[in-house]
Amino acid sequence: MFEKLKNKVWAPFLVFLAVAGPGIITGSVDNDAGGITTYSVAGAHYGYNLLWTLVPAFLALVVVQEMNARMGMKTGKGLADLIRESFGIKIMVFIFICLFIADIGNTTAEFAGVAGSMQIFGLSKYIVVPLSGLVVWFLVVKGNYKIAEKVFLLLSAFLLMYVVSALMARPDWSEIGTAMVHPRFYGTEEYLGLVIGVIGTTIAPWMQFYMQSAVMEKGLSVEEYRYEKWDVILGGVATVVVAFFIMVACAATLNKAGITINEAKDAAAALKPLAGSMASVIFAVGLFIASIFSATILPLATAFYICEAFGFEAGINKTWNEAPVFYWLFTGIILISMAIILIPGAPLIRITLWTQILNGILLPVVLICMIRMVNNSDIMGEYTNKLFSNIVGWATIVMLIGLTGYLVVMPIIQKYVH
Amino acid sequence: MMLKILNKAIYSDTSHEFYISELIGRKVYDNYGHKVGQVKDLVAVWEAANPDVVGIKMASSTEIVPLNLVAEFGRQAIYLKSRISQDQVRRVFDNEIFVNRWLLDKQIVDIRGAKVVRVNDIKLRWSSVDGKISISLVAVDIGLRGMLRRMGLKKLARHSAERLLIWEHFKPLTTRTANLELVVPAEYIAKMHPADIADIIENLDTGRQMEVLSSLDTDTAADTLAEVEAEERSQLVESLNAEQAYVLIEAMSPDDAADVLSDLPSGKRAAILNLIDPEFATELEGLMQYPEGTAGSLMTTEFLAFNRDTTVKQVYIQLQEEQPDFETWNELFIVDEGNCLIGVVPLRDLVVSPLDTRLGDLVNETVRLTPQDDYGKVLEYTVKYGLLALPVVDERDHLIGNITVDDVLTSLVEDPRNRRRLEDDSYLSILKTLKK
Repeated sequence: MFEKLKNKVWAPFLVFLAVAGPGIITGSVDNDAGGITTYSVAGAHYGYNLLWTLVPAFLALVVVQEMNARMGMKTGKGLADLIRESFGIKIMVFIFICLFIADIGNTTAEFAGVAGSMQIFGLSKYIVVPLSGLVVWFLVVKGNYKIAEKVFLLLSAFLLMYVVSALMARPDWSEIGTAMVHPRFYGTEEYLGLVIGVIGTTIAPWMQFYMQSAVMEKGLSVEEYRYEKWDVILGGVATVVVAFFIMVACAATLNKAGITINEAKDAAAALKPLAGSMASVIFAVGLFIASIFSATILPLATAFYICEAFGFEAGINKTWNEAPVFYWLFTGIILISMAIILIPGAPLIRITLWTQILNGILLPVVLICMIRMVNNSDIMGEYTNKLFSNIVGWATIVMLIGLTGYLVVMPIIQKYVH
Repeated sequence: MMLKILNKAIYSDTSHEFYISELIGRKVYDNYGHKVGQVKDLVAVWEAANPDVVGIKMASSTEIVPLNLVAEFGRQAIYLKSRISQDQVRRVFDNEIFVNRWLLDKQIVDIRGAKVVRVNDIKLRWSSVDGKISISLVAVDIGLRGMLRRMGLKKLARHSAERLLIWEHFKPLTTRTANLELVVPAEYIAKMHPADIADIIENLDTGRQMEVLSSLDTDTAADTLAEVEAEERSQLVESLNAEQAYVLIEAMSPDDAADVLSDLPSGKRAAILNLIDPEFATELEGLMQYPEGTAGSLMTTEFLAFNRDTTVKQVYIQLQEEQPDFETWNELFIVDEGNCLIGVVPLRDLVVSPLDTRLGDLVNETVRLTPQDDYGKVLEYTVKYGLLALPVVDERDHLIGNITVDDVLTSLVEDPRNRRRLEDDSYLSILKTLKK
């Protein structure tokens, strides 16, 4: 199909459009309910002084996702497929148990985001959450990959509405410029926690599984690699742009007014008197879209992982009869997460904490498996990592392990020392 | 000391079964009781139905110890016949596979390439006949038991059910990263309906499509090919050589054959037509003239036509002699001396009539189509007159073919335009009859 386009100048662009998707979608899902909370708190409490963290976050995201894309395209297999085949059953079962529990927790947090954002409009979570769950379920179970991808890309584009929200807050651009070049550092624990939070929220273990499975399900081959690389980079840019403007929106308003917040929905509520009700509505709708988007991708990634690991058929393109385990897993995770949210008095904070800890334990295992496989010529042939990718890759891994290690250990220490 | 160890290892039986997961890490001793190393993997050759183990890969070396150096395969340890020297070990050959590294955890797929499950463990059989040791791979453990055993949870494993797939069910690996593919025995496929075989074929790669197709007898293969979706089918026929293709096409009914041929590039089509019986070839060329969407492209030139003076008895005798093997002949067409269409005699009327009745007394008036009529008219007539076969005539009313109801139904389901037409009231009745 691509041969016919060769002669035209804009042919590469068309090919890119056909290939793009997995990178942009995976990148956008970083800005989920938890991510938006982190960016909002960072902006509200420290103004523009945490904007610089988006630079290392961008680098780490692109480097890791590019490896996923390359592995998926070269082998035609998912990440879980490769981990099982290369590292055996013990590591696989370990990741399987951690990921399954963590992703139920993650999905629960996303549905909490759905509930929180709609609270701004005075809608009850007992209506919004089941309805969102139903929509998500229909999209994946009744749709195919092509339709689902289009919806996902549309949702990614919608997240750019945060740019509007930020512009409505009339930020001081010279101040932003100064803060980017010479940020003020604080010695507080919260500041350090937010630095880690911004970078950590960008790279989650389940994303790696989704990214690679999406490349595989889309049927991209290694000939299309150079286009897919741009998809990954564009995905990174989109992620960082959205994060940037969320921080700016909160910095220009909440920080100036000296308001502190705990959650993304607080930011949406606080924006109303400061930047007008329109800015507040946009912020809340953005949170809603981000949450529902991630509430779709998370259970998908988990279902993919488990099916690949145990060798069952999986994919949105399959029917329920062809891939029953896949669809039951997807349905089960959504149902459990919704149930947790809807149970009055469920310990949401403790669930979030444990989810974060499990994610932190998983991430180094997954990343080290990845970088070892991407360097294995039995798997990657001529597409193994080049020296540069390895240096950046290992630096990313060491940095992420350090950061998440800190993120995991700190709450435990805090809990038992104080 | 040495004797003591050997005694412990020797079994009264001359064969036993074990799992690869239990073997990895097992210690290896030479005949003096010195530890040589630990088992890292087994090397096997997969040429017969069951792969045979030819050597042991040790954790400490890149080379393998050939199986003929092994004296005893014990449950606790492995004992060699002698000390091993450098010239007894050897490199791994290209046709040899690592059992643990390559086969364990592999994806198992069914004949259509759909993922089924993974290899959780591998069962092997050790046997010793007249001092000659052999080890072969007998089954793949796909159950929870194998998984728990691999996890080191032996106690739990003992309580869970074992699910084994014997090795004969698999096709040898094409490349070592390939999936492990289950075979469906050819005799099983041959018993399926051609439409079902076609469904399987559509999901295979070209190489496997050929394999399945060539395992069928000519008539079944031809029927199967006719059922395969058009796009897939023309690719398949293109990859056949002209000699293989013409045999299949000759075995098809003319309308199917014309369909297959008209989808091919002109060069290939000419090559095949050259080989086909000239009379049949001319017929096919005639059929291929009619563009897609016309009655001509739907019609087949196989039909039964009789004179109005023929008696029922004569028809019986003729049918029993000729035994027409073409798809459907539910209507007999009646023509005059000049082959002009007079009418039809449904098979039903023929069967219930006295033997000396003339067909002319049974004949019913009938509508007729021309090859240029479109699908819409074909559908309309089929529904309106409830005919199982519609005659097609040329401009001088000569009977040239007929359209059978099964082909009308197929075109109805395949053509998206017709699917939309079905929404229309007049076509809704067809759907209702179909559902009944």
